[in-house]
Amino acid sequence: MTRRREVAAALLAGAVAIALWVLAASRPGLWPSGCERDCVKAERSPGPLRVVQLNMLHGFPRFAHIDARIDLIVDEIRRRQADVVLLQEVPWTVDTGSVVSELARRTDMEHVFRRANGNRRAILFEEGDAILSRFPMRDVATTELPRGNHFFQHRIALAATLDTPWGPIRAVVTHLSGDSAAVSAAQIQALREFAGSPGYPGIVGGDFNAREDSPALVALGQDWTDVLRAANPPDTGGTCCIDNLIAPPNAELHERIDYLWVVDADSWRIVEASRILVQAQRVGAEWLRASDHAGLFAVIDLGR
Amino acid sequence: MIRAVTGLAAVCALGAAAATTIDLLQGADAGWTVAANLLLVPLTALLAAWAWRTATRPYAVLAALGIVVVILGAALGDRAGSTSWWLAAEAAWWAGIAAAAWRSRPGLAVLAAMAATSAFLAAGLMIFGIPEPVASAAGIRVPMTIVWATWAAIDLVLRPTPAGLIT
Repeated sequence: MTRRREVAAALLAGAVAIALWVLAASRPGLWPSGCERDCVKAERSPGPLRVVQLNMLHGFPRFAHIDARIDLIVDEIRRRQADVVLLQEVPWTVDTGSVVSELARRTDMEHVFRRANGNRRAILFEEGDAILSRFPMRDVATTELPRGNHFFQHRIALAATLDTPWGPIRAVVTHLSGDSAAVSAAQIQALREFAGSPGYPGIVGGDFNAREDSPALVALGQDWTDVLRAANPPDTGGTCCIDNLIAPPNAELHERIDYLWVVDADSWRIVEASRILVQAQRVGAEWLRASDHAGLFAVIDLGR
Repeated sequence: MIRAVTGLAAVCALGAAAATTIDLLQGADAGWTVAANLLLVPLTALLAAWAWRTATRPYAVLAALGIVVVILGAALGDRAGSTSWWLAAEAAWWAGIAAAAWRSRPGLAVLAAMAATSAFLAAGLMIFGIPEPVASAAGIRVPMTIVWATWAAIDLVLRPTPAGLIT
């Protein structure tokens, strides 16, 4: 090979490297990570199953108030004595490191995480879905849902079986794109197939980016139980979204797009269920919201 | 003997490229970062030995810096890619390789120069605390590492003779 051709080939290889960087800039992780069992020794408080669901807002690219918002989320998980926490938009940044690991460490919970978007190596940021559990987890599974309309945007679902005192429970977390009714329907159908029927009860939480009167959610509601709607009293208020995280309380959440479902729930009883983190909280001299979404909280008596 | 040494370095370099690729695609396990850096040790040692014999002293010193860089990279693990002084040292090493290789291995030199530029950019972004999304550019050095290591491995296999890497 002549010198000129070798240089040209090297330049072409460099271009391949840049193309690889672009293609890897936002991809789901190859497999879930975390620590599923035997990582914590904390005792759970007695009582029925307590579940929290929250889209915690990664805040890319500014990551505004991320440390203080993590503090608020940790406080809420502790206050609710949550056994299971289903999270979306859990970030990794240079400054925070792995937020799911920090949440798990500070709340004494096992955790699994899978990146949905971004790439910590390629662009120094990533975000994904996570399950925190007071119970040991096993049979962790994940799937990539049908693509929406954005090249760099991917949607996944993450599941794990929790070994609880009431027997196994399948926990599933997801964040759908809601780009259109067709995309929403395709993603929900794929989610239903992924959640499947493991032969024991399941809880599914996520930001579905779809209103409850959308055809796909109406159809889903015929098979799965919408926990907040089925609660007594029900809480079907808005869960999204507030742009100004430091706005004083009383800002309105308009759309209900975050849900908590129970699957194969014949013997379950919903003790209570409501939105949480609905209002800004006082942090020092300022008001701050934990996320642009409200969280969901449910206490569920498994009846066994 | 030369073929055996360069062959080993080439295989390790390909292993480093593979480990870096997995690290790039997965990211959550720092073990791949550590493995990739350790697998680069034979290659960096070979390049340092070659540069020591053929290049002027400043470039040879920079090329030898690579051994320290990859060992420190393994020690830093997850934090290497966002540690400004390590990124600067990596850029200096690659710059030394580029200068030392330019006359006899222009392809390796060009890729080393591109890798040095990407590492220098990453170091600058970290030093000056440039926020996202501009800071995303710091990650270009990772695929550059993959391509550079793969090229170096092939180059070692094709040109392991005394006229080539080890004189």
